[in-house]
Amino acid sequence: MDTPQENQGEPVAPEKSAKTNEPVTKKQPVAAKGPIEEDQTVATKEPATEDQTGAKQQTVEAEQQTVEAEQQTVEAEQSITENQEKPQRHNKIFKIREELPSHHKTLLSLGCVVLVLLLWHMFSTGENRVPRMILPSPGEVWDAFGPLHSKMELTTSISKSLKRVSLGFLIAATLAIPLGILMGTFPKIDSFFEPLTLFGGYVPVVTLVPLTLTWWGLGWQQKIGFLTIGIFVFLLPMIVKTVKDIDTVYLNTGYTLGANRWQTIWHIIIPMAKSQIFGHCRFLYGIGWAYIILAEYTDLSAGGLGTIIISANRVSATDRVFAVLIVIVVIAILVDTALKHLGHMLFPYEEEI
Amino acid sequence: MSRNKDKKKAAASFDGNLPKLHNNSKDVPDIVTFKNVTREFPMPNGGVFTAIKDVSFTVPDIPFKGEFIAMLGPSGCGKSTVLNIIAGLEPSFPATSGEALVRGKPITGPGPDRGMVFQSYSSFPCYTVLENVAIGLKFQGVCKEEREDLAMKWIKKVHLSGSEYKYPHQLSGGMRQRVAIARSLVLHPKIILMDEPYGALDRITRWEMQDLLVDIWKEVEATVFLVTHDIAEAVYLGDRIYLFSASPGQLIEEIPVPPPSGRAAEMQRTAKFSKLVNEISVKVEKPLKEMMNIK
Repeated sequence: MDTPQENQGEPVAPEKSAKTNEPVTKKQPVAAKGPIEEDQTVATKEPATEDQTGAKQQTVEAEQQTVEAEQQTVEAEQSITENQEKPQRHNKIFKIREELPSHHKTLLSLGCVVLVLLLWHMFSTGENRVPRMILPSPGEVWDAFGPLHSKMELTTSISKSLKRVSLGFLIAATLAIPLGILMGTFPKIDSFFEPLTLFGGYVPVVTLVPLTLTWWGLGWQQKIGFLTIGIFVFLLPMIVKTVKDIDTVYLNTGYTLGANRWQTIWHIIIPMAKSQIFGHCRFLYGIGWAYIILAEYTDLSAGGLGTIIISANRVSATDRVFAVLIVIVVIAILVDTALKHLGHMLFPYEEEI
Repeated sequence: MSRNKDKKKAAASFDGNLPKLHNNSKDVPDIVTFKNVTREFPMPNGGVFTAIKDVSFTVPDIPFKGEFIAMLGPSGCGKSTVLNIIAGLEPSFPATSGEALVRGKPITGPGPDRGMVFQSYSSFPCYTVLENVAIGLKFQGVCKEEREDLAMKWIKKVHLSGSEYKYPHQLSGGMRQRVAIARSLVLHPKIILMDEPYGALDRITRWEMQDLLVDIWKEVEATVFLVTHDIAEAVYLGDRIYLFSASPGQLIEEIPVPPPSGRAAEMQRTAKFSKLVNEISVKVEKPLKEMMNIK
């Protein structure tokens, strides 16, 4: 019988301090689990409302009560661990945003690669294997590099594709960066070109392949043109947003230091945006590398990695397709890492490029 | 002498009426004059928000020594609007009605004669401390050697020597504000506008920065407008406190306070100082309480 009485006095603090202090809220479900659930809620109401009005006037009292409430929370938590053996938080395998040591990261990533290779190997070898035409084994793909190199001119193809991506990207960037900076800076220019960016943003890039073919035919212009358009429509809105996102306080600071319009653009807006613009370029160069395959896909005579894939596909040499895919991914990673290091050198003030 | 006179004049207007304008002597125009300045902002729902209403004051140009005006008032009372109008910064500038003059001339826009230190850290993250401090001189067309020389001097004055080539992200909050102060003072502005510059700093750092400001201020001979929420800071640094009411912001009182006579930490601990702060707190809280009652 003495438990309800205790509870009658007790909840005053938790109820009230729920307004001021968080931890107490943890206590409530605990109290509610007890057998005296009904008594408690009824008893609580009156003292609680009284206290709420009092709290406004006397904050000191409120603070004292919060301290009391905190003590109670501790008690309550102790009782939880005693009674229910509630699992501790730090025992969880997956913790939200936990700090991972770098060797753990590497280990986990390696684990994934090994797992994929293992599964791949399992399905592509042995008696009941998936046919070579559909899934060549890792060994078969490895062997495909030899003929690729000697017969299909792998290195020439790589350099051809690389040149095309770079040229297309350079043209897109030279157009998008100044235009984007102007659009982000001057709302009038922004409004004028906005329909263009809206249109560009929703154009399915794949449809540009036949379109550029009709415009430029099968020549190199088609590939460069396709890449330029494909990169430009993504790069432009990213640059515009970056420039718009520069906090007004920096511009105002410039004005109060006597900067005129062009000084503001040249010495504040561009320097503030350049590291992020570099980041966008790095990202889109990677995208461009994926697009090149699309551009070369249509043209058997053009050479390049896309051509190797399509010609290998025609004769069902899936192992070669796999090999080229690996080459593409490896080159993409290499280029990306190189650009990342370049970014750190160019922008030492950025913690993340 | 002239300073004491001004204080007496200010004291004469304490009866709650708007402060009377000082008599202009013809050769030295007042540094800042507000005549019935009102700033209204259109609201998305079609209504009008009045940030400040009928604000009038005059700050005389005291030769070789500016005045330190501390602006106090509840949040959203338009103190920053006043500051931004003086600075000539949109969207507060220009005022909807009334006259805002700097040295007798209407304000036309921002300029390096009015330095500003913002509450948020405004050091350019892409520039080193040295480049940050020198950038205003660059805008003025000062050659590289000269501007780095001057910037170095100011870096030393704000006790940032040794951090010249660091980037803002490597500095603490107090250090970043020192960069901002040095950056605007290197241009020798006649008016320094500070919008809660120490709002994000802890108490001890704030005292340190107050001392620094007092030291530097003696040297630059500028008029300072400081917006603050910290009553002790206003009492300590200010020559006069401008007290604003809540929306619409109106200048309700001018309170003269003694200038700082010692280090911030020591002086702000004395009983006499606390008493003064308490007296002013009562006045500051009055409009706040009124506002809460209305709500």
